[in-house]
Amino acid sequence: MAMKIVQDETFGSIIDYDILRDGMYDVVDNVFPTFNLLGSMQEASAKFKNNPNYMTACAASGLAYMMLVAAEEDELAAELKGKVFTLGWTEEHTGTDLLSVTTTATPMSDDPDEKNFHIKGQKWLINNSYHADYHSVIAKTDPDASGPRALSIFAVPHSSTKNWERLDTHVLKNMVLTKYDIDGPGILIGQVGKGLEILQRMALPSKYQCSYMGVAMVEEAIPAALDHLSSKKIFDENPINFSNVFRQMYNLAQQAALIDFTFFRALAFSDSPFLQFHGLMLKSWLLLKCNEVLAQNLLVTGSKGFLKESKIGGYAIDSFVYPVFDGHYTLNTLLSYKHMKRYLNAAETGDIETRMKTIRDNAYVAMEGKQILNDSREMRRPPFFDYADYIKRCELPIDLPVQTLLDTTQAIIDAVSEREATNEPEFRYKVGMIVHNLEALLSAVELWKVTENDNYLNTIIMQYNETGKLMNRIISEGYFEIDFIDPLHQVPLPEVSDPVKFLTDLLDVKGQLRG
Amino acid sequence: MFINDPQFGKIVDFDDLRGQMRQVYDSLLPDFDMLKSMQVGTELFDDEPNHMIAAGASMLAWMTIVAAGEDKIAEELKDKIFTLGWTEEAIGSDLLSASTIATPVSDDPDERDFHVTGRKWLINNSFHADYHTVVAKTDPHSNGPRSLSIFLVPRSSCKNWERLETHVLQKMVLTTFEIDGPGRLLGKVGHGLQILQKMAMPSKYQCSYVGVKMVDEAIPATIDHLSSKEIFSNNPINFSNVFRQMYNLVLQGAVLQFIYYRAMAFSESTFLQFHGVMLKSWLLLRTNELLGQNLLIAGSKGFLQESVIGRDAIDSFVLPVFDGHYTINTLMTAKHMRRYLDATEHANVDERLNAMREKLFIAQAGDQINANSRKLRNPEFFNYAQYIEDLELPIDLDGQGIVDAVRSLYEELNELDLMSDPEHKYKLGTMVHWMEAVLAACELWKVTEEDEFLNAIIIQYNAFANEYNQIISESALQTDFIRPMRQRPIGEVDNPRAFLERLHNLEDIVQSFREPAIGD
Repeated sequence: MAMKIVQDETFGSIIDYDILRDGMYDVVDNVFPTFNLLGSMQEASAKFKNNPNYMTACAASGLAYMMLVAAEEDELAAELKGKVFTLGWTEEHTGTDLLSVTTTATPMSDDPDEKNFHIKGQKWLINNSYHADYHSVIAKTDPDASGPRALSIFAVPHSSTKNWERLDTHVLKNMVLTKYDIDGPGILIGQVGKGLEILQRMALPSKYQCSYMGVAMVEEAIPAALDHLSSKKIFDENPINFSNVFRQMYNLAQQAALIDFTFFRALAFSDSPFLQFHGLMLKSWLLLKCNEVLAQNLLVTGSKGFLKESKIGGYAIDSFVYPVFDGHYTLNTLLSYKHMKRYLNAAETGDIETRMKTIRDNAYVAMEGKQILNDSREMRRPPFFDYADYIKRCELPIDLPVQTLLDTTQAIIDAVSEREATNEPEFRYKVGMIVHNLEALLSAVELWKVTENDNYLNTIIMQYNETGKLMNRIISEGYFEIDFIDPLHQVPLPEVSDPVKFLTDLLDVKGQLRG
Repeated sequence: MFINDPQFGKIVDFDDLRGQMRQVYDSLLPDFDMLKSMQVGTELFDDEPNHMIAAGASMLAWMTIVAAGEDKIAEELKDKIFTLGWTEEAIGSDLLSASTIATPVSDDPDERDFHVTGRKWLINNSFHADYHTVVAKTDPHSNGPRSLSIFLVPRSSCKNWERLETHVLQKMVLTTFEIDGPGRLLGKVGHGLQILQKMAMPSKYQCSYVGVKMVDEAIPATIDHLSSKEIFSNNPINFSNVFRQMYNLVLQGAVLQFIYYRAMAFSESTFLQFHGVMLKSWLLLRTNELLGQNLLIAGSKGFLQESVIGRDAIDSFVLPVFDGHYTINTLMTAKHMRRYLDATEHANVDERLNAMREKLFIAQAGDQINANSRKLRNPEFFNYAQYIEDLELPIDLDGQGIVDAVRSLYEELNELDLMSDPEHKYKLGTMVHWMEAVLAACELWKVTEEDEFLNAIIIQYNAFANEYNQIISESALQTDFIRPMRQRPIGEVDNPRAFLERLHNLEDIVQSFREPAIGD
């Protein structure tokens, strides 16, 4: 069932903000007073049918509201539950560089405990900003400060905002983003100077919420393509029965299964020190992967996918924005770089049984947790374990030379160090990508292990080869004297009598885990 | 450029377009100048994709009249908008299954007037066009290669348009509509497919042009944005990770542009079809990938409606799909594989070099619309490995190794009896495309004498190796995998923006090698 799009006199075809407002209460009921990460997303899906415009507007509002929760402003959170919010962070010149914001906040009195401020500034490319009841605004109390303590957060009512100019976009066209002025009262959230800390607290669970849309789109678009390719007729045959089309869809289904599992696996471990590590990967590797898969899915489908009524094209196009907004994939990947050394050198023995049990018990299940009140120090030190040893003990029926990958990674790090280029963002970014790809490989191994489904052995091999290609590219671009990685041969496909059923089963990881 | 239509919203101004089409048609009749027909489009529409493709559809439909040998009609109708009335909802690219029927209005065997009945689907310009070039059958039960004919159907024979809204190119108007009225036969009964194929050869160049122009426009837009935006007190282009991403895109963009204009330079030859199918599949797929990455690097600004970066990334998805699916074009290339690998002719480096320096980016009248299809099936391939050796590259590119590797892949597939399987045929087609891309990149370096393009060769080679290895991996073949090559260090970069812009502006580089023309 399609979500309603209204014809607005000012903005044309847009989402119905009243429907959004009506749905918000039940969505944020999952994040306050108790916090249920997957529950909040499932509620959004139920309310807004995975329509990307509604879902993204809902996410923006939900995340902005979560700032109140992260700041432990319980009274305010209780009072404003069900309002539409915006994330009033970005300014045109700052992008992701929040410490450069120029919006200022002046206290209404000299009382050091004053919570009421006058806020003044301009925000840019802000979702929901014309229709929102409240804005969670980042501002500085001292315009000259630029350190990590320079930012504070304010709840600014609609009445303090003005001069909205809509910014039309190429994607998610039924949302309304504007740039606008703020000039009026706002209430301090948390304490002065704690803005960045509150943001970071909120940002960790939010990475899961932002990535959810990518996963939901993949979950819908691949079956839609399968349906089309098995009902259309060309040259007296359904395209899915042509071996070239089947192979393309097989590859997409394998990647989609890995995307889906990696997301819900991350969620299963999210109420732990892995919260940040997995979150970064979702917000960069996973969303970039969703974009790639959805784009290929559109190209395989062909003309039908371009019709407005088809989700195949719409999702492919909209999926470009998710790796970029609310934290650029580059920054998330650079953050993963910091884990590399501990990731590579971890000597702990990973407990396969415990991990399998956690995945079996938690994956795809909504449960309460404390992800919004995480301890940032713990997040910096997730309990990594000996990678090669863990995979070896998983007893794969294929030969997976993971030690080669680890040795090559170490050789790349050493070569860069020798070149005294360790501080170069290019290198850090690339190492961050290696971490993500190694973790995706581990995830593929666990996908096979937990489902006991040998059809996922090729998921492992494909991800191994992807990782090898990445390392080879890094070696090539850096002209390092390090051996290139050879790919692995895939396991031959089983006899497939019903291609659609075979691929649909492959996609249904949840069904295999939860029955 | 756009109007607010009460029925369709914001769309191309078709009245304007009608007035402009003559300039496009004039470049194709009486003299047929393929590149000029598109450059006129660039001048008129500033490469705006909705206009380029609406005008392109009209141009190709009108060209069908020329391909049918009906020059007089084509000349008379130069003030009209046309559509390509080919596809029907049930058939896609499988035109032989069309169900539109044409019945002659008399028993005269030379009758030119027919009654045409049927329904077409997803046809660009179809509500606004004055004429439709319609694919139909005179015998509804036939389905052989002689079953199709082409008819010129006026708007008055059409009805019941329903707009089909799309995710891309939203300011064009595509509809599904019914035909029920008179139409005039173009060419002869049963010659439809032949006429289409004649028109299709040059049309592949015209379709791909839009993709190349998008690359030409969107990459500098990103370089500009990344050199003017400030983040963490610096321009993003000065961060080494961003620079590397843009360096890769600029080199790939240069290769795509070069491959396009190189194909154009050799289009008046037996290579017309061979290069054309590669443009319509390999090149447009690479264009789409490149523009997607370009958007992801540019970030938020690229998503604004005013930015060409997002627009081009999104619209570029449709180019490899419509007017001939990339799969079909790649399968056509597979047929060349054996001759491509086994060619022994010795190509002359200087001759090819001079031809390219002389013709790249230059519009010239030709006869591509009347190309002999038999000759196009046998392009004058030459000894691949020998030619690469003759280019005297300062890098260790093993041309013979490439040929041997692909040959051994071919032979193993042959032994396994997989050669008629579409999956493997398709994959072999991609191998030919990648080999040709490597060759083209070598020529790019040779023509420009720009050593930075040596890395463009290595990037093509490594992409070829990845594709090759994937084939072996997916089918668990015994043939050995190929190892990638190491790039060369990037040259001195004082000013990243200037460095990248210089490499992007291929036309300027080529221009500097051009013999000054008389009068210069």
